[in-house]
Order: sequence, then C-alpha cells, then structure tokens
Amino acid sequence: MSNFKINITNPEAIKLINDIKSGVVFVPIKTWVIRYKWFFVSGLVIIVLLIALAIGKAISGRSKPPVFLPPDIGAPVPTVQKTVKSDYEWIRENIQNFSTDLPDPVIPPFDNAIDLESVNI
Amino acid sequence: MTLLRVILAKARIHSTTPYLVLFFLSFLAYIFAPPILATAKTDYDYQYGQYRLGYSEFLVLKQDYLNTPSLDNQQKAMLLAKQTIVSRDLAKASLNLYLIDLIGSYKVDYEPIKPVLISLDSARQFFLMEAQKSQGVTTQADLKKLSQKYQDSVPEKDSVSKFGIVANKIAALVRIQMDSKAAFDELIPKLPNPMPTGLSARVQELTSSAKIIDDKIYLLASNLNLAEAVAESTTAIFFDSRIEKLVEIRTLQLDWINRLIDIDINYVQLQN
Repeated sequence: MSNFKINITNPEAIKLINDIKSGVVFVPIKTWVIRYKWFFVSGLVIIVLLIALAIGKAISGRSKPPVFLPPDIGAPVPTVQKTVKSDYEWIRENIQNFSTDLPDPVIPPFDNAIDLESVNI
Repeated sequence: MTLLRVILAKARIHSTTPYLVLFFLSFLAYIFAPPILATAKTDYDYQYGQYRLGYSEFLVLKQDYLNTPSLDNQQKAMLLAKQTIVSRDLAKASLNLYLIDLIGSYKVDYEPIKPVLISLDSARQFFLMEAQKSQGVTTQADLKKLSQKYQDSVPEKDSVSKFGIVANKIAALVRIQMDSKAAFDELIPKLPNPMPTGLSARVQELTSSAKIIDDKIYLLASNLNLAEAVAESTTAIFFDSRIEKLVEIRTLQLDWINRLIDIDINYVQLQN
C-alpha cells in the first residue's frame, strides 16, 4: 500500500504541476483579487451583517418579548344577595290593601215615599 | 232510545249499560258541578236589582196614573207600588245582613262595635216586617198612610247602615291589630336572649305603639253614638271625619308592622 506511486508522463500535466509549484498559475488570480479587494471586503461585511441579523432573529424568536398586561383582578362575579322575606309580609299586605274609603260599600238611594201622590215626582 | 237499543243490540251491548253510563255521568256531574252559593252579597245584589227594576217601572205607571187617573191605571200602579215597597225593604234588610256578614268575616269579638251589630240586626228585622206590611194595602189612602208612617220611623233604621259601614272598617282594623299582636308574640321567643340594648328598646317601642293604636281604634269605635244616630249620620262630615281617623290608624299600623318586619329580618331571618 505504501509502495503505490503515480508516474506522470504527460508534458502538459507536468507543466501544470510545475506552474502550481512555482505559483505562476496563481498570479492572475492574485491580481484579480487585489484589483477587486474592496468589493470582496464590502461583500464580506454585508454577508457578516446578514448572518448577524439572521442569528439575532433566531435568538429573538426563541425568547418571546414580555407582554405587559394589567394585573389579573379576576372575572367580575355578580353579587348574589340573599333575599330575606319576613313571615309577616302578609300582614303588611293586608294593611296596604285596607281601603279607607267611606262609605264602603256605598249605600244606594232608596225612595222612602212610595205612594201615588203627585208631589213625589 | 229504540234506535239506541237497536244499535246496542247490533253491537251486542247489554240493554242496561246505557242506564248505568247515564247514572255514572249524572253522579260525576253532581260531584264536580260548581256549587252555587247564595252569599249575603249576592242576595243583596239581587234584591237591590229587583228594587231598581221595580222602581223604574213603578215611576212609569205612577206617571200614567197621574196623567190618566183611571181605575185600571191606579190598580196597576198600586200593584207595582206594593211590589216595589217589598223589594225596597228586602234590599235594605239584605244590605244590613251583608254588613253583618262583612263584619263577621273578620272574626273579631270587639265589644265597642257590638251595639252596632245588634242595631243592624234589629233594623233588618224592621225592614223584613215592613216588607210584609205593604201586602195588606188595598187603597191609595192606605198606601199613603203606610208611606207616611214609614217615613217617620225609617230614618233611624236607615242611619244604622252608615254605622255598620264604619263598624266594618273598625272590625278590619281590629283584625289587623290581632294579627299584628299574634305576630309580635310569635316573634319575641325567636329573638336573641339576652336582647341587645338597641333591640330591647325597639321591642319596647313596638309594645307602646301597639297600645296607642289600640286606644285610637277604641276611641273611633266609642264615638259611634247610636243614641243620636239620625242626627249624627245626616251630617256631611259623618264619613269624612272618620276617614281621617282611618287613614291615621292605618298609617300607624303600617309603620308598626314595618318595624316588626325589620326586627324579624335582622334578628331572626338573617341569623338562620
């Protein structure tokens, strides 16, 4: 397993390997990066900000903001008053129903002079 | 019935069955029929209704006779006069009985109004006798004499009804006093023992107030002067002056029972 060795004979591959080893192949990339370095920095900053926003949102979603509500004073319970009635209400009703009108019953008119004389008509 | 028998025969029902059914239905009707009770009130209403009818007819016939004094018209008017006198006196007698019945309905044994009850009954007897008397009248002169005699003696008897009406109110007040007294006697043992000072004073007040009301009722009843019934009952203030007294006593009774009920609610009902 340790004796395994690859023999490269292709001249193009050998040239590419040598370029990589000497760093020639990276020169254009390096130049490009140097030219657009501020774009990279700006993009990096934006990405960092977006990540920070995403992390912040995730954290805020996990812990809900406190809701400020008035203290619980309980549901209003109707006050049930015990209706107390006296055993002697009927006497009060009798008094209230007692009529003080007089004459009661009314005495109707009666003719006490029933005869056939003309003076009575 | 024959048709019924044919139908029953065809239906194979025994011939005595319909009679049994009829008997059963009659029995049910007898049991559940509403009782027709002739009370003093209904009797008075009937008698007064008879008098009103008779009197209006009598006035017409009397006018006919005075316009055309024929024997026929006289006989007709005489006949109706006698009928009207009977119905008038029966109506007065039943009015007195109605008042006696009203007073009796309160079930009070109150000494000061007993003379009124006796007078009402005496007046009732008088009117019943007067109703009989008119039947013996045959001539116009007899009728005139009877009517004059009646007018001499009747004012006193008529005035008794007014006293009866006041006595009826007094009996009602006495009944209320008796009920109130019974309520008071029933309440006292239910109150806390020993009584709080405030409650004790309130109970004492009730006792003294009841005495004041009793005295006022007694005074009202004692002022029913039957000896001068005619003179007194014809005055315009006979009823008016007594209405004031009735209102005053009623107000005191209402105040009294309100205080009793207040004690009952606060010291008995709410404690249970």
